[in-house]
Amino acid sequence: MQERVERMVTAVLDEIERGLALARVPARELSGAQQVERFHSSLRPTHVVCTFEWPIAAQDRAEPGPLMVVKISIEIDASGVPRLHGVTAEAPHASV
Amino acid sequence: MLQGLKAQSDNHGFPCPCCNFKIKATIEQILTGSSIFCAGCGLQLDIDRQGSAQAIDALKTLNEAVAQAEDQMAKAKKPGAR
Amino acid sequence: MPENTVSQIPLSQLVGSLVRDIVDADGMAAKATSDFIQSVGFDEKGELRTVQFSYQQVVPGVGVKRYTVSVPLLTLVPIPILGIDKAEISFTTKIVEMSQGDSQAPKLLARIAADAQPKSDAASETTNIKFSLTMSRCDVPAGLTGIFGLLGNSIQVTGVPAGKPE
Repeated sequence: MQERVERMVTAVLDEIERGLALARVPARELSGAQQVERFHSSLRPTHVVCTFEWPIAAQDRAEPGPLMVVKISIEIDASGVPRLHGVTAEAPHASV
Repeated sequence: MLQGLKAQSDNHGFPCPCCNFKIKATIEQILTGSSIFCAGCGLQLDIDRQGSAQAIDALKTLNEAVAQAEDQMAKAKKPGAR
Repeated sequence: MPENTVSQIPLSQLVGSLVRDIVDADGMAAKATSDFIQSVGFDEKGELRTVQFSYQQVVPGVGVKRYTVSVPLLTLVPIPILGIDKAEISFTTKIVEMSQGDSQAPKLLARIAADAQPKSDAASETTNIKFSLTMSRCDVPAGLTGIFGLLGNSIQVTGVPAGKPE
């Protein structure tokens, strides 16, 4: 289960990094434009918080089991690279 | 979501040539040619309307545009306005 | 009813397009400020518009002397500085597919979910991810700092030539 959550966290981080790279091109010149090293605007993404639920039990369990809430906190530097700041997992409605 | 759409009212003014206190003149004062006074030392400054003709024309245009925009905003705020 | 597959896009594109839209909007606001500075502050030749003031001052040993001071118009009117200081984008996506593969990070295919709450479906291995993305202005635009410096340096005080009536 932990491995699957880690895969999801890695995937989310990677998608955010690639998404921000898409935004890091000169405004209105998206088609064929090159990415730049930094955001041209002084307005830039600084934080992302992602929250999702994940089954605590094994995935092949037939009945929906208890869920834990995974919260990923990400900081983004000036060049648009996301850094994992923290991951918390809580099971609010279940005794684990 | 959008914050900070602001007209910075504190970024204008010029230093008094005598005491460096920041003098602020209103658009109306310049358009009417009123004298302005430094709040720091009381220096009286008179507008040279001839030498400032271009700037006064630009201010008139700006003033009219602001009045039009305010008028449109007032109409849009009226109940029943689309 | 079959699911609308057109709305399923890589999560990176979703994130990127939202950020880009905010940056574009900020750029449009900055353009409005630039247009204001250009049309009010400068004439057709690109020279600063100025307002001339005259004043009298007592000079010890000389008497009352008249001076003129030339002030850029832009220092007299408030410049409307338009822009986005902070933007917060919140949205929920449904992850409809996570690619397999050991060599690199899995790719996520997503679509916007109507439900604002994170939700998981153990049976179908899908999950909703709630995103909260913050954008902040991190420094003063360099162009504006330059304009303010230019205006400050353009204030000129001159003595009225001798012979001119006081």
